[in-house]
Order: sequence, then structure tokens, then C-alpha cells
Amino acid sequence: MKRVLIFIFLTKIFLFAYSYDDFLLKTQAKIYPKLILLDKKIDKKLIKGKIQVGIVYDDDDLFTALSIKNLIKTLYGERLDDYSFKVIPIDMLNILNEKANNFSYLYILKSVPDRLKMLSIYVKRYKIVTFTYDKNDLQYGFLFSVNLEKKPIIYMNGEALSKDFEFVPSLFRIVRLIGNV
Amino acid sequence: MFKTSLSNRILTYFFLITFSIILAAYIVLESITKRTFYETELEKAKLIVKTVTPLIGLDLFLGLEDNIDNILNELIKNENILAVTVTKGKKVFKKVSKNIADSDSFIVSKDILRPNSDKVLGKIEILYSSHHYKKLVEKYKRALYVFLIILLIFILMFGYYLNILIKPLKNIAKDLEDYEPKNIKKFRYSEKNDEIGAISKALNKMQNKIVEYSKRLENVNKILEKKVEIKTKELKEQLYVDALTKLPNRFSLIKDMKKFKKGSLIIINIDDFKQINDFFGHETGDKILKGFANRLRHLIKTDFPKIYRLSGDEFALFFNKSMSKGDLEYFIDILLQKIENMTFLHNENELNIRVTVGASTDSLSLLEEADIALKLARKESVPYKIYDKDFNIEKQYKENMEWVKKIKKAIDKDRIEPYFQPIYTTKDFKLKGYECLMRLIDEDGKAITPNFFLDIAKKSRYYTYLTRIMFEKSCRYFSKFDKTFSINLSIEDILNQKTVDFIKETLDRYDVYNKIIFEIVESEGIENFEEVSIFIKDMKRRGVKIAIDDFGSGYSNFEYLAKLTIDYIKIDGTLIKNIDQNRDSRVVVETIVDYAQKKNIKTIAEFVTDKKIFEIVKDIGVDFVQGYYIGKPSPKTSLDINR
Repeated sequence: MKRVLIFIFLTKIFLFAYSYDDFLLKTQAKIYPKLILLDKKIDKKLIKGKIQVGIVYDDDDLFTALSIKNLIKTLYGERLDDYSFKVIPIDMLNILNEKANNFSYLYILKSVPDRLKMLSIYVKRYKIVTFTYDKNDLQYGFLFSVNLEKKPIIYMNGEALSKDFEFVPSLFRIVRLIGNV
Repeated sequence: MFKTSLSNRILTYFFLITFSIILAAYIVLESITKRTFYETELEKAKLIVKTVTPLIGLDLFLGLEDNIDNILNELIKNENILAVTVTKGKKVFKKVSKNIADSDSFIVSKDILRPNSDKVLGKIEILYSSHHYKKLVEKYKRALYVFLIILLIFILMFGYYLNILIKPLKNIAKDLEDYEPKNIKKFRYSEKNDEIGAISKALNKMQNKIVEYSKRLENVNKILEKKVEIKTKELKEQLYVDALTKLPNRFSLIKDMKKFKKGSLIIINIDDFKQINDFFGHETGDKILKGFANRLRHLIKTDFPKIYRLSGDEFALFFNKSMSKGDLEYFIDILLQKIENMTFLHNENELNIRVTVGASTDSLSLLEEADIALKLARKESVPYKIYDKDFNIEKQYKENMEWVKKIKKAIDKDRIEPYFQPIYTTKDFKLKGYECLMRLIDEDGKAITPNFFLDIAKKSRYYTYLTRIMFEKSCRYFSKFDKTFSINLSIEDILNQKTVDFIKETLDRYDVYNKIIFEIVESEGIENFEEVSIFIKDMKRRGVKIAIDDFGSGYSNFEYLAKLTIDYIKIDGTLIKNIDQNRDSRVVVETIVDYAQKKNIKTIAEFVTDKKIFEIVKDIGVDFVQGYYIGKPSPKTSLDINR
């Protein structure tokens, strides 16, 4: 029975989970932490003295989130530069229901538009720097996304920038700025 | 180096200063500009590196190598960038370069920092070409050379213009160099309205004033020349004409004698003219001289002989042709007769004059010879003498010279000695004292009396030495004995302040004030009464006794004697030596003694040569006697013997 339940669970996951490009995921896992280090207000965004990055996923993308966590951990370990670094996968519904924010940076995987819209409101409220897997999700008001074209391109949602965000100036010379569309 | 005219100096200094400024500007500008160009290129290279480094740093950090390649490719497109190298650690991470051989370049490098951190990710190096810098320098040099050439052209043109401006000044200066007040010329450029025109106008005006002034000066000069001519004539006349008598003077005579070489000359001297002046005054004397001159004019009438006034009472007649001695004697005889008949009126009194004449003829030394003849005539008290070589004047001169030599030698060899002649009292015939008499001891040891040499000595400079030697030796001798001694002093001694000082000093030295008696000759004392009086008072104050020597030899003046406080009268020897035969001499001596006794003055008779004379003078009452009867002058005295 137990085996049946695991099978059903896994089958559900595989049947209903979004599809992700592994190479893009690897690229993003490599670049996004570095973009965090380009934040000039990084010290103000530490939570309990750590850089806490949440990987927001929908129910079915838990494995993807975990693999991303593992990728990042493999690349950077538990320290990002001089800071303690912690990557925590978190369910979309859970984060929306959180009464207190525990993240300064969020890596948002694929989701339905309604949830993404709600999450967008959440991140604005808590001034969270966001990275999306899909560059199209930037339209909901998220900040960064890396897409693989001939080469990796960093997109930035200009409208999502607020005065609370401050990055090294040279960053603005390499990103491709887009609007909410 | 160059002509020192103002224009040349202005031009030379202008060019020197301008070229110096240009040269300095060239050196400074080239140096500064080259450095500036180099620094500009360096800054450009640095700016490029500074600009791309953050991007490369970001791309390197994010691992966006394609972006780095793009940046490097863009950089290498820059013509000045020869190569770009990005190193990561010690390894070359990226490198792009051009295949252009350009050895002249420089490297600019910069560390690549991680964005938002100080961590060094790597290093970027850009090899930057100096090509552009060189091109700039070349361009700048070309521009500078063009500028300098243009500037040089401008300077040369300005110098040329300056020369044109100054040229009128040079021309005016040249005109001024050739300028002469007599040659009137119009100075150029007066039509100009600038400063040169003003100078030219001023010079033209000045020229007019100079011409006017020269004319005036010329007129003044003419007047002055005329005045000078008149004045010169007057002065010449004054030079050759006697102001009182208007007769030609001595200069005129000398001039005429030079002109005619030979001739005859008569000098007329008015006898005792001094007495006329003394008795009647100088005004009368002058009137007589003028009258005498006029009478001579009337007497002679022609210029043969010509009449001259030589000095106070001396006139001359010059014949410009030689006359025979006989003719001259005949002329002088007539002349003397005429003069003797001349009568001059003074306050209704008639005055006659007598003259003595000296003449010379046919000689080149007329004036000197006529003068000698005149002196001889006066000496011999004859009316006239005509010069003759037989006068032996030259012989006398030679003898005089010999005596001067002898005196000098005697002084040098200490052969001037005092001889002492005793003076006795008449009353009891006792030694009263001595008179010190000068003797010159000749080379044979013979003592020569002053009669032979004293007059000659007085005319030479040795006289004061003789006095001093006598005085010194006499005082020294008698300082040892308690007897009086007398020394003769002449008027020359008394008037010579140095001799007087010597006398005082010697008296002090030997302390013989109370023994010494000064004998002063009566006639000399009268002639210089004031000086003698002062000397006597001074000496008497010191205790010295004074005797008047040779009293009675001339016009004995008792009034004069009364004024001088004297102690002794020494009666003249000429009165004493004949007193036994000449009654008049005795009367005179008695008068003198009588006067002296009344005035309490002691008398001394000299020339007492025998007992008879001694008895007479004793009988008359003379106090002291001196003479060969008493004792001859001797270099030693009885004082030496009794010592």
C-alpha cells in the first residue's frame, strides 16, 4: 500500500509538474547569487545575519526547487562571499500565507498567473529582490530574470525597480531592461 | 658693434627683445605642449581603462565571457589601442591584439575589482599607441613654425616701418651736424603734423632766433672790439707815459734804446728832492716835478734828445745817435747852467733846485753806464760824470765778490772772532769794561777790521750770521767775568725779528743782562726812531744798558736823544782825535758832555790816542775813555791774565 501511495505521489508530481530547462536552471543557479552580491544594500537585507534566499515553487515543483537548492549549495556552499548563505525552498501558498517575511531574495519558479500576481504584491510589500525562472514572469512585477539566447541575457524589469533597490551601476550597462508588459 | 645712434639702438633692441621673446616662447610652448599632449593621450588611455574595467569586472564576476569578448573587440577597434589583455590571477584570461608593429607605445593597466567589493578579480592592460600623440606634436610644430614665420615677417615689417618712422630724425640730426649759423637752411619735415614736424618747426624757429642773436652779437662784438682798441691804446699810453708829467717813462726809454741800438743818454737827478717833499709836502714836490718837466720840454723843444721821466726825481735825455764825449760835455754844461737858473714859486717863495747828472755814450748798456756815472758823480759830489771804462767798476765788483767768499769761508771755518778794547774811567783810571769789536781772521791769521767787509756783508745774506757769532761769543766770554761789555748793533739787526729773538735767547742763556751795553749808531737810530725806541724800551726793561754810538758825527739831535732813555753817549771819534788842535771839536764835545751831565747820562770818548787827548777829555768831564792810549783791541783781556 505504501508503495502504491509513493507511486501515486510521484506519478502526480511527474504528471502535473512544470517542465524546466536544466541548462537554464544551472545558469540561473550560478548567476542569481552573484546578482545578490551586486546589491549595494545587502547588509540591510540580512535576516538573522544571513542572506536567506527562498525558492518559491508551486506544489508540484518541489523537486525542481530542491535540485536548485542543491545546485546552489554545490556552487557556493553555505557562504556567499563573506556572508552566511541559506537557500530555503518554500511553497507558493505558504509564503503567501506567511505573516512575517523571512526572505530578502526570492527565486520564483513557474506558477499560475493569479498566484504570481499575489506573490508580486507580497514582494513589493516586503521589498524583496526577486529572480524568476521564466523571463515572461517579469510582467508581474518581478525584478530579474536570466534567459538563454545566443548567450545568457540578464533581463531587468525597470518598472519593478524602486528606490529601495540599489545595485552597482555597471549592472545597468549589461542588463536588458524591459517593462511590465 | 653698431653705430650708437638712437634709431639704431631702438631697432637693435627691438629685434633682440622680440627674437628673445619668440625663442623663449618657442622653447616653453614646445616643452609644455608636448607634455600636455602626452598627458592628454595618457589620460585618454586611462579613461578608456577606467570606463571598461567595471564592465569587464562585472562580466568576469558573472562569468559572462561573451560580454568580455565583445568589450575587448570593441576596444581593439580603437586605432590607438594596440592590444588588450585581461588576466585572472596570474594567467592570461583574454587577449586581443593588432598585427601592427609600433614600437612607440605605452601601457596602461588597472586592477579589475569585483563589483560592490574591493576584491581583485584580475587585471586589464592596454597597450596604447603614441602614434596619435606624435601626429599631434607634428601638427602642433607645423602650426608653431607657420606662426613663427608669420610673426617674423610681421616683426621685420614692423622694424622696417620703425626705420621709416625714425629716418626723419636721422635726417634732421644730419642737417644739425652740418648746421652753421651763417648758412640759413630750412629743416625738412616741417609740413608734417606729428612730433617730427613739431621738432622741425621748433628748429626752424630756433634758427631764426640764432640768426637774430648772431647779428646782435656781431654788432656788440664790433662795438666791444672798438672799445678794446681804444682801451688798449690808453693802456699802451699809460704803460709808456708817466702819469704826472706826461713824459715818456722808463719803459718807453728802454723801447727806444732797443729800437735805435746806439745813442747817448743823460740821467738827471734832482738833488735832495726828498727834503723838498719833507719840507714842503708831496703836492709841492709833484708841482716842482711837473714844472721841471715842462721847463725841460721848453728848453729842448725837439725830439733830439727825447725827454723821459725814469722815477721820482730822475729824468733822462736820450739822443738816438751817438754823440762824442766832447759834445756831450758841452751839452751838459749848458743844460746845468739852464737848470741852475730855473726858479720855482711856492707860496710866493722862490725855490731853486740843483741836479747831478750821469751820462754815457756810444754803448749797448747806456742805462746802466749812465746810472753808474750818476752814482759816481753823487759820491764825488761833482755836477756830472760821463761814463768811462777807467772807473774800474768791474774791479770793485770783483773785489766785493772776493770779500763775500772770504766772509763765507770765515763763517764756515769759525774765523769770526771778537776783539776786546778796554774802557777806563777818566777819574781814577780804572778798568770799567770792554767794547767787543768784530775781526775776520784771514788764512794767514791776520785780523781784519770790519771797515773792509761790513758794508759788503750787509748787502749779502751773511750779515745776520756775523752778528749772531759776535753776540754769542761775546756773551759767552763775559758770562765768566764781572765786567761790563758793549756790543755794536746796527739798524739791520734791530729790524730783523729773528736776530732780536736770537739776542733775547742768548741773553737768557748766559744771563748777562746787567753787564751788557748795546751801542746803537746815532744816525741810524734817528732814521728808524719808532722801531729803535721799542727795542730800547724792551731791552732796558730786561736790565740792558743802551749807548748812542758816534754821537756828534752828523746832525746831533738832542731832542731825539731826550726821547730815548739811554745810559751812555759815545762821542764820535772824529771829534776826539783832533780835539787838541781843533777848537770847534772841543766846543762840540763840551756841549755834549754838559748836556749829558744834566741828563745824568754817562759819556765815553773814543779814539783817545795819547796822553794829551786823555787830559783834555778828562778836563772836559768825560766819564770814560777808550783808544790806543788806553789799550788796543785784543782777542784776550787782562781778565784772562788775572784769572
